[in-house]
Amino acid sequence: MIKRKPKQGGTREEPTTYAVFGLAWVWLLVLIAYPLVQILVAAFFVSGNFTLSEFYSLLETAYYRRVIANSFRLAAIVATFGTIIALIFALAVTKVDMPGRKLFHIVALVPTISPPFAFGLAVIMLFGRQGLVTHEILGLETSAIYGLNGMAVAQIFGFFPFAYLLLRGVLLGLNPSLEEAASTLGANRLKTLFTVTLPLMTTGIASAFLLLFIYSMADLGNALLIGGNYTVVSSQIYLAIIGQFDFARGAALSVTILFPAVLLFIWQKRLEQRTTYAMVSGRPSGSSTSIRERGIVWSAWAICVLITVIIGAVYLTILAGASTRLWGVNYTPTLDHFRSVFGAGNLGLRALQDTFFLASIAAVVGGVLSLAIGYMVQRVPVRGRGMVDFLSMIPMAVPGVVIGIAYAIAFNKPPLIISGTALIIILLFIVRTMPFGLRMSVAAIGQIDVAIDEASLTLGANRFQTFARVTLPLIRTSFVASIIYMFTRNITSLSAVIFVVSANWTLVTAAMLSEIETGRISVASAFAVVLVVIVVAINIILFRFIERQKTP
Amino acid sequence: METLTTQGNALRLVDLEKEFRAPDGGMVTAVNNISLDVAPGEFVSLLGPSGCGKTTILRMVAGLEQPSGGEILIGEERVNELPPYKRNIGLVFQSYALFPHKTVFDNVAYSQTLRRRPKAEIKSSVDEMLALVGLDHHADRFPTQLSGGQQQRVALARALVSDPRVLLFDEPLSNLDARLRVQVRAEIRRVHQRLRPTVIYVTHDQSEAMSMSDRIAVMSAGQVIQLGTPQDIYQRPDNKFVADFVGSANFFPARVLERKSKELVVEFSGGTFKIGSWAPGCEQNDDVLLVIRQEHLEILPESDSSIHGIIRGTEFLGTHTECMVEIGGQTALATLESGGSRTMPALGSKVGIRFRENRVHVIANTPE
Repeated sequence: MIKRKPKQGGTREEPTTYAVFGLAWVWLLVLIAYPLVQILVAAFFVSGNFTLSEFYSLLETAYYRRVIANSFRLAAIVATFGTIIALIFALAVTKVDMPGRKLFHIVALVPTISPPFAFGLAVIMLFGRQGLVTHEILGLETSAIYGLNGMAVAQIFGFFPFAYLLLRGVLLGLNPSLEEAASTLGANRLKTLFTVTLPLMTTGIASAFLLLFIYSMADLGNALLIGGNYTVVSSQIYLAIIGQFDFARGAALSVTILFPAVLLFIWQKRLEQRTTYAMVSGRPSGSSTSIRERGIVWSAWAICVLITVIIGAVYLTILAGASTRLWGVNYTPTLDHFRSVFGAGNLGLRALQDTFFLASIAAVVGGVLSLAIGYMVQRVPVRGRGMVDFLSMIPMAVPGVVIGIAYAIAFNKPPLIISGTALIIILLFIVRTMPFGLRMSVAAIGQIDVAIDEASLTLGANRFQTFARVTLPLIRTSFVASIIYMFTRNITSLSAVIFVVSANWTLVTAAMLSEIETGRISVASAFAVVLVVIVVAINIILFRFIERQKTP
Repeated sequence: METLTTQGNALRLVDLEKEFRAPDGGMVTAVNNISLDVAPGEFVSLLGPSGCGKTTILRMVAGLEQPSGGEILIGEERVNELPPYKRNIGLVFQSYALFPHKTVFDNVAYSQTLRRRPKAEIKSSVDEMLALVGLDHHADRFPTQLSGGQQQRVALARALVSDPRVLLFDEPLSNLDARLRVQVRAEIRRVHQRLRPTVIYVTHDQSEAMSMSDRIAVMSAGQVIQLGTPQDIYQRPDNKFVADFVGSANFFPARVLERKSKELVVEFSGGTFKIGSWAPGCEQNDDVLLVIRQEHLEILPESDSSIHGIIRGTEFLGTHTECMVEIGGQTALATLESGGSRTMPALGSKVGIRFRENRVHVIANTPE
């Protein structure tokens, strides 16, 4: 006898439902599949004929081979150390009974919502040629930080919080009674950690490693800032396109990280799924086994303080850079840089306005789209819905640089010429953030008992009425949260949109980058401060909002 | 009270089939060629173990699953092609499935507001329905503020308010504790007798099915094994599965000596018995099974009966004592009535066994 879990799989749908589904397909094909195909065409076709010549010439050149190897070496280093730090941090924060747990957690969240190259910027300001530590304090004239070391440090501390969040989720999902069982059977803390906790986390740890690997490979901001002579694929693509307008080369380079990134992504998703199966109980069970041994508590506390101080130092450095006259030369306090950001007629204010305008539209449209597609994927029995889900997730795997030039190539020629418009930026924002929105809406809808939808249907409500009257009211909190999250990502993103900004429409992150390229570190810092303040403020408001919704 | 005039439509299932694709790629037949006629206002239960396909049938009637074959007719209308929201059926879920963001009143009023009826009409019909299930004082509460039994009554009112052509129940009581189950059961029966909707009631609990139904369809592995009144099902089961699933029965191998028009003469344990009730397929010289309900197998002093057994266990249950008795190498459950001065038989002691011939039913002894 086969016991099957009832799932919504058999309602007959009306043509309008299928029409919405069809629109989702059009959206996916035009905005995700078409640009990615175009980048393959640009990489493999010369004047209409298939050729691997661009590819061969790439691989035959020792320089490019080194660039590709650089990317992978950096990614491996960042993933290894980032995972270790994230694991220690996660274990300490979830398991050890120490003062300041909540603060550590909150501080670690900030890098996940701030502009990606904040860490690179701070590393330069502290350890660069004019660095506060290297030049001012130690009196050195060194550029040792530019290159692999600096990039690794910036990426490790900038990205480990993503791995931390993932591992924290895994740890909270572990059934504490397993560890309790181990300790009642005579295992000490260390023994329990190595024989019970870590083995149960294996897939989670591997998943975190792959996540960091992908993030490192896709990172553009830090590579441009402190890469120095250590060129990686993402910065090489940027140079090929922005510097030399060599789209074929840029496309061929993109392919070298596109496929590994997508494969790693799929691998990572699989591991993540298995991680949830490995959990004994599905819901966070809280850690009832708080570790109180003094030695462990103090060393864990010291490590957490160190990491928190490093993260805090980054933002303080940027704040200091933004409010002193000329970093490295003149440390007199001033608000001039903020004035030059907000000053009337300045590029900065326009960039801020443009960013907010475009990011808001993209977040709202993207939020609605994620919700609609999420509902279909979860609830409407239409053939091919799994494929829709998969295709929508693809942009999460594709490095930002790659999808950026894909857009630059695909939408700069007939039949769809939208380069230089606001539309292309909005669309790219939406495509890049929709996977996150989609995951959030799928998760939220999945929380609702299917029977509630079915009750509505049997009571005479069609799909749209059910969605509007039942589903939407029940998930409105997480709907708002997903829009805010998408907005946050939009205004802090750089790697993709850098290829589609134009004289008409520019963005804060792009403006920051050009300030840095022209050596105006202080103004760039002012931009960064403004962005971080805005982003943190928005998220605090959001957090308050969610808390209030929880207690009606 | 003129709005309360629900009279259900007839429901016909014709050669209904449902196949699912199993995770391994093969096909699983959940519902295998089932035909069933339900009269208007009739209460029919689908009774069977989990996985027997009873819920799948219910979901197909509701439109939540598409049949792989066959027809579903409500009234005289074929509804296969209709989405759930055009079938006008009511469905009461195991998990209640109340809308958590709506008050009790708004939950019940949901189907009515969708139909854009005037506010006053909606209010009067919802109030009436809430009064019927005894929840008129809870209209402004939210579902989470109600007990499980109250929530299920709200669900019942919500399903009934739109005069459904067929009312479907999907194990509605299994999330309630034993005492509440009996209460809500009585409630459902009262409402049914009052409004006479056509009901399909899915359950794996035989006492639920027997206490409420006009007819019961006992199901196993996607098929209806026996369809009949509760009395038929309990007293005259067609086969061992039905006898075993409904109530607790003892089976004793016997042989048919002679088949007469009104009775069967069987040989059992060295004696001959004349039995008036038997299932199809019991012919002369056949090996058969005597079906004797636990409550019809009495324990006597050894000398009072020609059939003997050995006590292997006793369980005192207040109203009676349940005894495990070994009879001729097999273990049977028998009842020792409480009261009187009878003492509990000791373990291992020899006792007499008696049953009345008119309480015995015979079924074919077919290998399973």
